[in-house]
Amino acid sequence: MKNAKPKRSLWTPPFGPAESCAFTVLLMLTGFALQLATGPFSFYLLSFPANLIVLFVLLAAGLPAGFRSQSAVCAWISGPAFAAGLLAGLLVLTIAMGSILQTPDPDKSAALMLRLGLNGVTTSWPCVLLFVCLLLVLPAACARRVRLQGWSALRFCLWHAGVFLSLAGAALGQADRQSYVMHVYEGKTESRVYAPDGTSLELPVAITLHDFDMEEHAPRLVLIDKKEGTPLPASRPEFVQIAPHAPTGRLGAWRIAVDTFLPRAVWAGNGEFKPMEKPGASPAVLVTAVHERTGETRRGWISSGNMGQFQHALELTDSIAMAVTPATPAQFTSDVTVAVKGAAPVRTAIRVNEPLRIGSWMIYQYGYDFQLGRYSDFSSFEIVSDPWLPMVYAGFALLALACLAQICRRRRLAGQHDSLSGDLL
Amino acid sequence: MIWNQIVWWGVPTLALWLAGALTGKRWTRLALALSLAGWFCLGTFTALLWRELGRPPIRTLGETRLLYAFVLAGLGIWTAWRSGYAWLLAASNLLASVFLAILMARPGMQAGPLMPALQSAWFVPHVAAYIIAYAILGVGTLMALRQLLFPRRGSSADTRLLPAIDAVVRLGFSFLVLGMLTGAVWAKEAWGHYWSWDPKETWAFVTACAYLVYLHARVRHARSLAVLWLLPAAFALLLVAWLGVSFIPAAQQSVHVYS
Repeated sequence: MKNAKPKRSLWTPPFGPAESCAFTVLLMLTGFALQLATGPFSFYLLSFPANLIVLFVLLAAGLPAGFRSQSAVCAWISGPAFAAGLLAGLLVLTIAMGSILQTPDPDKSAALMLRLGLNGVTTSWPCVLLFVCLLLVLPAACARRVRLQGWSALRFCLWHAGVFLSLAGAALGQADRQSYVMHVYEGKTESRVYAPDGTSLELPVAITLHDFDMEEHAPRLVLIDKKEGTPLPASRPEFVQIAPHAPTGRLGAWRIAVDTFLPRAVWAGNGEFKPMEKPGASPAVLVTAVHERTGETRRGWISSGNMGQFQHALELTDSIAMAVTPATPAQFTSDVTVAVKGAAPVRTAIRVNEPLRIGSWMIYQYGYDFQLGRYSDFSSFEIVSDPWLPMVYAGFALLALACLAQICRRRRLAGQHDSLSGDLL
Repeated sequence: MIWNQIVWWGVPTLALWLAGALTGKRWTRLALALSLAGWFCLGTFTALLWRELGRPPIRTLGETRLLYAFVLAGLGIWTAWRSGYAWLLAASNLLASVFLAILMARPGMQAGPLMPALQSAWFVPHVAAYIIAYAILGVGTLMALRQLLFPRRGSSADTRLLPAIDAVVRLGFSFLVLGMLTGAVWAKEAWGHYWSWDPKETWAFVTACAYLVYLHARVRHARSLAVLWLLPAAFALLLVAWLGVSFIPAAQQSVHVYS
């Protein structure tokens, strides 16, 4: 006869999953109460040196908790059940975050759901409290595993230290991160930016814009409903990409040949487009379309038009016409000279995905005059300083090593009794 | 345009995979051969599409569905061959067939040229890591469902299967994290911040969190079947992150909605 498992009451050591769930629920309820009482948490309270002090406190509290073997509480908070509870709480909050539009609104008369912070989860107290607990247990878990296993805990520590460095660097460093947008006109030098509240600031970074240029993708041909202007077929529109290596294509029952493609052209007024480099020029294409069954032929110029000239479509039937999509940017580039106090000026090109690192600043290509496109006379840059980035990237590096170690690990898929408290946990 | 020929490549693939799924129980070698033939058929189409596009087919929803079906079927064949689980071959073939059938019904093939932010060396490793992770975690979910819905008679848990499920989930989770890391570094290069809580990023975090809950819960409940239910739930969240974000009203401003 099997022995019945003795019934244990909550909060009787050793603590396990039940206590972990109860703690997480209590923690979240406390967070919601704080949210209702005080509103969202301001990460700017964690500006330097407050964030450094918090980091020190987290490590000073977490590491000894992991090294103490006698305490039931320390064993519990450095163990997987406690972490599972916290992660489940975070899971619930982030599912809400992904389902509800995140637009923090301090309006006290708003619906209860909004006052609970579910429309600004990252700055809500329940989320902050869960994060703090998570940052506390990660060093504790590492310390416990090192105490129990010594060097064998290396892979475990790679995972957990990696998560700790990434999350701590991101959360605590948020207040010290500076990000501004600077608009610079061609031929001018600028060092002023506008903060989110609209006030003007003088940065120790000056940018001179020599030239702004944009490469564009060739547009695509499409059949449209003449009345509605919508692409056809309505259920699954078809396009033909204009490309030098493929001057022919097919749309519906029409065989298409691209006779001439002008990337930048203006309407000459005599039924023709002519190539021209000036603001307002748009791509234009001379097309011959032949109906496959009837042999009807249509020939004419098509242009997507822009703010400087009208759109031109080629009429095929009473209800169908052929048009081209507007040209889309392939890459935009700013030729600049950047000067930072205490460093020699640098002349370089800044593109999307190719930011410039100078001193403690990163400068990103951000925007331009969308109306003028490649003829924009200014370029916008995002200027970012993130002193905690090295800590976050150190966490990324540890996590990447942990992943590679896990992937490269020899495993048998059947018949292998893998230690469940192995490397990942 | 090679996309218009998807049916000519997809139907034989489906036929071979379904034949592989049906014959697996009695003729395992034949099932493996049929599945492999289907995999090569779809692989040929994928290669032709890659050549036509001039880039890896990993950008639009349709392209990722195609790659997912291809990787999932490949992983199913490999895992079944290594583990001897014929049912796993049938299950992965059927799941890959579902994705292929959806792909043929809704190709999702129309995509404009690459926008500047997507022209990065991080593009391929980021998406490839995620697709591999999704496929491996899909296999893990099938294994969990097998244990939960069709348990072995006379025993509460298949002692061979549970460790194998954990091994598969850990492997998939590692690729998931690699996908997140490459995405974060790329976002820093392109947009100035490694994590902006964009809706897609939020759901990627949700997915990782769900698998972390499973992995932590398994430590204390090595033999618990109840914990296994977390895997289908986590996979459902993964599908929201991958396919569902485009349909969530709160996510319409996501910079990840391309197609």
